[in-house]
Amino acid sequence: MSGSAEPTANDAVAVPEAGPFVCAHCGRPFAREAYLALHYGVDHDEPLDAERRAAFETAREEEEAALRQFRLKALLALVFTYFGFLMLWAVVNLLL
Amino acid sequence: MDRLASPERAPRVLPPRRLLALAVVLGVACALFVGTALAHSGSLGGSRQDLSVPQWLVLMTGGGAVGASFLLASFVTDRSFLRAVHDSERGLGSPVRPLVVIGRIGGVVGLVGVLVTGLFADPLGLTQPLRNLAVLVVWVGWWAGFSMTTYLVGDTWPVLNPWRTVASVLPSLDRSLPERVGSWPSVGLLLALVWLEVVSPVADDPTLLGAVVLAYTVFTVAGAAVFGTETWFSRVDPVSRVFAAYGRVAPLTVEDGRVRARVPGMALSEASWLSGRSDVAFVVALLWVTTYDGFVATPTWRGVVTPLVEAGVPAPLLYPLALVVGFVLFYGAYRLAARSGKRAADSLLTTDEVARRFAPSLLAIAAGYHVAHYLGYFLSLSPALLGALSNPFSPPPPLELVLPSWFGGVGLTFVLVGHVLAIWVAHTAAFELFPSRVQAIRSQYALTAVMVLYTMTSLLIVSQPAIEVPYL
Ligand SMILES: [Zn+2]
Repeated sequence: MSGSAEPTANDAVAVPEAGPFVCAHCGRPFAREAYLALHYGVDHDEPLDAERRAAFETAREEEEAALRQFRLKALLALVFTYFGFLMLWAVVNLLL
Repeated sequence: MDRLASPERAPRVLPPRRLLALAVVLGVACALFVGTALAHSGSLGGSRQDLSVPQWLVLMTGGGAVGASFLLASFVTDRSFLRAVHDSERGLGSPVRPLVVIGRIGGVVGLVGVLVTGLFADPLGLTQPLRNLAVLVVWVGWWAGFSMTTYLVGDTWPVLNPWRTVASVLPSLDRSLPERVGSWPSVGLLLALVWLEVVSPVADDPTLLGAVVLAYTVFTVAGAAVFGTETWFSRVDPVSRVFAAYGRVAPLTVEDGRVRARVPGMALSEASWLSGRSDVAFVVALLWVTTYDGFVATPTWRGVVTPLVEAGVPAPLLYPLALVVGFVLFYGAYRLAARSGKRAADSLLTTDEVARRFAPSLLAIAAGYHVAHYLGYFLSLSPALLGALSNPFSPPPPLELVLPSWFGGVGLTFVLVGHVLAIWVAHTAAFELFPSRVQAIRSQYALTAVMVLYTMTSLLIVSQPAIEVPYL
């Protein structure tokens, strides 16, 4: 399949819909201001000015908080899945 | 990668020791989950007659393991770590020129051997399929064995491909294939090829197989002569595209004439080699035809078709119908998952773009399923293949390797390993695609659900005894 794609076009994002928050460097639009702030910090090499730096830090903190919450839920789900299956196997083995 | 390869200027980066600890925890947890699932289902594969474990429980546990691996992967949220794992690679120098020449000659000699022992099986007295070189080389050596090397080692087909070698010395008209055609021809041809493989007796009839190979040779060489070898083998020829796609899973790749080594499967987080809907459809079609191939030989399928055939629906119509309907269902489910992922992530990317970026992860599933489906077949028939290779015109009586009873568990293992790899790769791709890590995790919910369903489907097929394809 090598012939059908240009390696340089690599993961440059194709034809996004228009959006309220647009990146000044690459034109990629975002639905939320926080996503744009993170995008400047994560996807671009250009140094951040003070305003963007502050926006990035704030967005990053909010992201961390949301991640912590998600991890807690994921951990609970894992524990339930694991012990749920253990019990299911035990019950099935007992009945068979 | 260019844009994303830049080191992240994130204020917090995990120290290496914590990273290592994280990786160890993840590995152990994964092994624990998959291990429990397999310790039990392992006993199932060999002794299919007296199931000690109900099938629904095996399916549920497999699905649960894949779902759990998504949850585990979601704990790894360090971008620089993900990047380091996926980008680490090593140059191994360029392939030796004589090796390439030997490979090309070998490919052409193989094709001639298949044509001669196939087309002239009757006069040569080689009609018994398990003593016929053409049948054994095509199905055991190439379709099963060689395919496995393309995702386990690397895609060597561009060198071995005899049709490319022949076409490259012929003059070409270099007609252009319109851009909007994309690679749709290869999608249609792949479905057609698998249909032919399933419904016709090409697997047992050497003369018919020889005729099919001859027809394919004429078609491919003519096509390459009209459109040029590059266009033909990268956009139309289904066989080359299957091996190229499988080659993305493999540890070895060739870039600019140099061999590079990577951790197996890690290249799947990149989607630059897929452009547009037709390439995504091809990847989905590859996954579907591998499934279909096994599905039509299960008691489940017999149960589905028996009432239909008894009601008067002609069986020859049911097979292509199921092939097309199944493909549309698979493609539809995948697009739906991509759209739902895009919405869950509150992203403004197009559904096409999201679908393209996660499509390569499906190849890990296809490869895992392919091993499950063909490894036993390849091993048990390889003595017969060796016999025919050692003496093509009067092969010794075929030997069949009897596999131990636990071997069925190996298939189930590979199905699960393929899915867990796919989950991991999609996780990394999501982190490269979305600036917010919360977005990245949310984008995976629907895709994970589809993968869990798919695990259960393929375990359903792999855990059943293979029967004769009914009503043919
Ligand atoms: Zn940008």
